[in-house]
Amino acid sequence: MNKLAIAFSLCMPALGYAQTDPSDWSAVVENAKGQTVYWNAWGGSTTTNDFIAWVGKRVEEDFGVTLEHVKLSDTADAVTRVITEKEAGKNSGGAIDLIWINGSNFASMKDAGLLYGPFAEQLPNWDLVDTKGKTVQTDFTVPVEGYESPWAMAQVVFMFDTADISEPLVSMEAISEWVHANPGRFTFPQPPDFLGTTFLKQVLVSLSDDPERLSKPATDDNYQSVTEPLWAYIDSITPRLWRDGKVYPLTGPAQLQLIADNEVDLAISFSPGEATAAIANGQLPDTVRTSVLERGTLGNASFVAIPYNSSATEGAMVVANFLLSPEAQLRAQDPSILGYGTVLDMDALSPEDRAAFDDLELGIATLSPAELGTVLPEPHPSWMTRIAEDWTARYGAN
Amino acid sequence: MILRGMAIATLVIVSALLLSGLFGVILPALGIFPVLDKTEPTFDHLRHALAIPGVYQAIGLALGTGLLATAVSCAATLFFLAYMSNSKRLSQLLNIGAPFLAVPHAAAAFGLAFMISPSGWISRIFANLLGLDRPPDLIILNDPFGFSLVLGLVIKEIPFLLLMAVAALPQTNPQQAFKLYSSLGYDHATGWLKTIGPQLYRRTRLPVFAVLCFSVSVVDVAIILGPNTPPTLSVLITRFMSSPDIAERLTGSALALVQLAVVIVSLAIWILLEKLAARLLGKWIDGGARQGGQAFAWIAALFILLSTALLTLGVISLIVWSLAGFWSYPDLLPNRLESNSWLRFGPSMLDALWPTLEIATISSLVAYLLSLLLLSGAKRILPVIYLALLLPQIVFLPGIANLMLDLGMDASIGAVIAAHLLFVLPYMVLALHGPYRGLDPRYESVAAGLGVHPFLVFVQVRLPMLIGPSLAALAIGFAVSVAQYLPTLLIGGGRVATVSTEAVALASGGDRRVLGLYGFAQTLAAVLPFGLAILLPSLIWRNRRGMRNA
Repeated sequence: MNKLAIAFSLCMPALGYAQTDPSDWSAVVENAKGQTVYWNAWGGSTTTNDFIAWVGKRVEEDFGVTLEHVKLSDTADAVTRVITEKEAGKNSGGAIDLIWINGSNFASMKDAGLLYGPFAEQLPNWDLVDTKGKTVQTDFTVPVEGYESPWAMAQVVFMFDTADISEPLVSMEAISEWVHANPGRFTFPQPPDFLGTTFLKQVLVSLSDDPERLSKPATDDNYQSVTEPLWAYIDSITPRLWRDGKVYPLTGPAQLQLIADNEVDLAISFSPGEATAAIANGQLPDTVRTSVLERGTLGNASFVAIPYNSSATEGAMVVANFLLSPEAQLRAQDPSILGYGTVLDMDALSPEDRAAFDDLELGIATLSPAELGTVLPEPHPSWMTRIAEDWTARYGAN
Repeated sequence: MILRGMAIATLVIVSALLLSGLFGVILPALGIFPVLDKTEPTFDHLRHALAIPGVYQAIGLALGTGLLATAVSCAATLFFLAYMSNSKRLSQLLNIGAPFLAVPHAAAAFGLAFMISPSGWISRIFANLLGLDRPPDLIILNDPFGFSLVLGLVIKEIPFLLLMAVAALPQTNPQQAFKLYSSLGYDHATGWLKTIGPQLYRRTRLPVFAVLCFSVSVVDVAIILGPNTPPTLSVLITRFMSSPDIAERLTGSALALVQLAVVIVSLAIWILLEKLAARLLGKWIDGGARQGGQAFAWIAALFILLSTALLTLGVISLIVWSLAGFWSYPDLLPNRLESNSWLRFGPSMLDALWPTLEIATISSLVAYLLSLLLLSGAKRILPVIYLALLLPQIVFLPGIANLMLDLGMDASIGAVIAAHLLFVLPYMVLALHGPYRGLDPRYESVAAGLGVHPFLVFVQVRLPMLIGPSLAALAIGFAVSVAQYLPTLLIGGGRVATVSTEAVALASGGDRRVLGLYGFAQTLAAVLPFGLAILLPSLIWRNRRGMRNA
């Protein structure tokens, strides 16, 4: 029945939802005027919400595009929505125009043919993107191929309260020693939450002697041996975690509250600027600082993708392009606003724009790009899926 | 005849929606999922679902917490009414208590969590007395047996059951019973429990079933207060339904079928428990003891007093958090109050408030008319309407979303209102059922005997006499609509933002300041109609003594 619906819609003349060729940019801008773009993005971070509201104001002013932020509690809700629409044969005029996405959500949508594209490399501001220095053309090792457009870089840092921890903990071994000496003062978001799973991946990568294997899909043959050090590590710290490892915070930002409540002293974050912004908002004590691991921490890019049946493809592309503008990137990197790393290549910018980036204050708890050190690539998504499942079987069901 | 036809048509539409929703989950559970090109039926997904680590604990938790929460709420409600049986202040007390019903579950759960958590308000009092600066590392919230979940459910269900029970109370002829048992030397509580109690329970049985089904399949409260290693079954389902791996939705659908079975089993267990209780109660009644009920009544009163205090303080804590600057443990209050959160989030909250009120007003008014239609026109097949309360939302909503898409009416306010009706309508029928059926037929017979047209009898006699229950029902319907999250999100395609969708999205970030603000807004939106429901009857009936408690 669905095949029939698809065939039927293919025969229909494309009426109001014609998608403009992204390489004809002036036509894209022309057709975007007056469109309303529904951007489905996780709504759990209040600083990000403020940033998206600002983007909405700016694209309205410059391009006559209305941006509505649909605040999700989970990006997968948007995936469900697009699946539902495809099932129902609604191949145009869908409810979602833009999704903040990366990693396994992207991999499964791309796989199921639920995304519009390729468009990303035809955006005018793509020329400014640092495609050599930053991992913006693969997402968790999956080739992007223009089906999503980057807008921010993220890297794992650890937030710690200097009132309780005097020296940064710079290796997984140091963290384990500290956890054993200070039982009940560390935890991580419960996998399969993406940040909790990121902690597991960070342990896996940090303890692995051959990180190269992680860039390929996990196999039944190598999964056991590769993840053995990870489980030995988690086995050893779990009884010493907050609440004896029987209760976990459900999301990353929930850890901020735990630090403010003085329940824990150490927490993982995927945004080097999060701690500074949270201190400014009164969510964290001003004694919190961040640190990275000596051998490097995981980093990845945040992207926006357009569902294949978006009703405002042009408007969505205009927003994606605006997100890559020096103006938007500068604001996103400002630690008092968002503190997200830029995806732009400083050498491709005009001298004024470059100076503006140079002039940004880092903020009280943010490390400089040099201090952030080595960025490690994300493992293939299959590792993430398997270790999240495995963690739940081992520790999430007792 | 026309009325009956319309009533049946309503039921047919409702059941068609539910059935299509149910098929939308049965098919994937059996492996039929065209979007992934799966068309071969198989039991693999059901088998896989039952092999998930912790799934049996999750089932046990759902059953245990649901049954316990319902039993405690029921007992507390009955014994509390026994305690209040001879008090003229019963209705006043309820007026104060009714708004608690309107506090949305998630907001109440967050408030409660801040009260009882090891770093919460109560703990802070002790920390200040003892000079501690670190909260104790104790498992109180999210405990593995689900006791804090039960507490959270009970606190919210008691006001609902009380309201339902008080609406049905006049039909049990409490004054006559009172004269009878007093003259036979029973103390108030004992006499009430032996005469009114059983009648009243019979009349509020449906709301009790609704409470049970809700408690067994609740998601938001269970996420906030319930255990999470493993969680209850419904939370497990949402995890699978929200997995990035689309194929996991097949497992999620299979689990949803299991959830359906769990709901049915819990109802069966409950009916057995009812039989057991009836036998015990029968023995107690036959025994003829004149005392003995008082102690239970006291305990219930104390319990309700404490839980009301917890809930009130919890809601107050939300307001304080919305105004808080940095607020660390063990400070009892934030080190400074500021309007930052209100300035940052206030405007978008107001944007979400208007559609919330619009949807709630329309859906509760339409549901009121439809429930009158159903109650007068479709007596025998009425139970169909309750299916929407028995089926967990996560089970059939995606299927309904499909249907709405097919009809080309999704992502609009109209579609969201229609989806809300599915949940508002049964609660309203529930609220009106007892009073509607229990109305003394002699009033209408007299009117009919005087030659009044049946329609006028309905409008001039029945409706005015039902003004109290009607307003209570409207207020409940309004509150139910305000609190809907999943239907608004799935049917509205995210394009219809209400305070509840915003609140749940923001809650995932755990920032107590925003939660406080939205919890407060949600509460306010839902409490308002309760104020009217309480005020209006006493205004309308100010010159009819016999109707004051209607």
